[in-house]
Amino acid sequence: MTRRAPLSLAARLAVAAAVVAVVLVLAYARSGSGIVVSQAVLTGLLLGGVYGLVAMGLTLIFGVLDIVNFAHGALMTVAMYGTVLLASHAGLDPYLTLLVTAPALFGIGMALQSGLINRTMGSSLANQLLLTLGIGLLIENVLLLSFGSEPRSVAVGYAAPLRAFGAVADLTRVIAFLGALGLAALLYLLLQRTRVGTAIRAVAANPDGAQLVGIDVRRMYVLTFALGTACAGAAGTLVAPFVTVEATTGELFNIIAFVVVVLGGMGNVVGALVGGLLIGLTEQLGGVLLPEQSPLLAVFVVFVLVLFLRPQGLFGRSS
Amino acid sequence: MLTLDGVSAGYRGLRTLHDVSLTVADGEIVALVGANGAGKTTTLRTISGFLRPTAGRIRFADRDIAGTRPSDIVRAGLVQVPEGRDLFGPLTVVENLEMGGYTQDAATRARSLREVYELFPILAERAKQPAETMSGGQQQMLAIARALMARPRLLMLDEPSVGLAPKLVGAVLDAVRRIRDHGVTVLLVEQNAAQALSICDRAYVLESGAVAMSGRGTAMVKDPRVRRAYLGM
Repeated sequence: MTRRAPLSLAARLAVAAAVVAVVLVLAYARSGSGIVVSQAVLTGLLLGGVYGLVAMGLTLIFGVLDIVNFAHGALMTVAMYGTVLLASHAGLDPYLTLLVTAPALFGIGMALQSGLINRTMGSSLANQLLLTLGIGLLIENVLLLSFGSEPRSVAVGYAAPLRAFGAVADLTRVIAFLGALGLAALLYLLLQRTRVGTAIRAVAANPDGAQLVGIDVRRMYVLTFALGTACAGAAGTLVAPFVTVEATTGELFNIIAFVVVVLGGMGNVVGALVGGLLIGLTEQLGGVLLPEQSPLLAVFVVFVLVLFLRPQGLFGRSS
Repeated sequence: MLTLDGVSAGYRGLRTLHDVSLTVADGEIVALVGANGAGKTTTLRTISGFLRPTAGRIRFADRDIAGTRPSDIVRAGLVQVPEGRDLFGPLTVVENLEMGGYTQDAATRARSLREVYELFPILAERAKQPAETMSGGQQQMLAIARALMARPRLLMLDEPSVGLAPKLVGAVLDAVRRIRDHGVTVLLVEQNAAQALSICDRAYVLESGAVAMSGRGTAMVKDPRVRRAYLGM
């Protein structure tokens, strides 16, 4: 959410691009196959877009409310189940359910913030941390209770593999990527170009100053939490066709989104999107470089490196 | 226009204001002077609604505003320029100003924007620049302009000259005078007592959270106690 001089942003993007280039060369040397690398890049970028959308919601909430939302992933799972139910029982197209899940999660976010979290604003960080963690656990277990532990899936009738540069990507992943990018752009325009978006950024920049110009800060908190939650919800619906939906599916996205948020600079919405793409690439290329390890290993190595070398994130401001 | 009647307030049980009474009449510049920690900022924060008074009444424009939320107090026409300014640093100058007019409709905002650009032409030049990249004096002007965008009836300024070069102090106080000439009542908090007393109509001296003295600004400048304690003469 910070505005930077274009040169320094370009310089940082150049550094990021150089790192990506080195990793690509290493991956090529390790696998000896161009197709393996381009497949990893394609899969990584497509999934990275979704990571970006999840992380945008998380970083928006952090930037404005100063809350690390541990319920973000569980709320994403709620949307996945919403899509499962609406698609398999009501026979809706899975992507059409976005029109239900995103507004529904917006509403849930509003209720959570105004009913529970607003009461803890201004108190110690641990209070909010425990509260959101508790909400997350509660949601997961209610989902487990209602839907059982059996994994669910969403069928998309027109799913078909698409080819590019020797790599293959399922149509569902391409749609998820494009959808995430589109929603990310919408969110960005909302924050940058509208009055209410400017008010949200004003609250993030200086809550006292926001009150002094007559902004109802608590209402902005509710709106921001709802917007962030709607991002998680939209992402949940977008990934539902290619993940196995379980009560804990969102958790993995939540963990990755934390890494993305730190990488992109806490509270930086554009950084979250770029960070999402980078982490998507890291995960897939990490799988190529270290084939015997969990792909998350590379993600956490990057996480630790960022914390060591640039704790304010790639696009964050040093404080 | 503004009346404090026996107001006490404090932070976390620690009472820092004791039985403060003061009035600001329509069209006046009233100064609130006193040493560091005398309760000047606490007084303004209590009026602005950030602190709830533990006793006493605050009336503004014939309404009891004690316990009203800060955003509603702004809507009522009572706007504060805080010490430290509380600008929206990463937002541009024009975005800060637009947010200043948050409580106003679009047409009024556009009109106010023209007026504050007239008052502070430098802000029009710097419109697209992030507020945090401007100099201290320019930021102070932006803070005052942002408050004016809310079309206040009463403007409260907390230490507008703090940290500014002497030349800029004069410019800021000159702006305060012009703002009053536009029909806005001003309550000015200053540690720089000499400057504040020279432009105000009336003044209150706060000591240890209570009103120690009050009177016309011109009379206070001549008062030997004020001269000794606050003007260093």
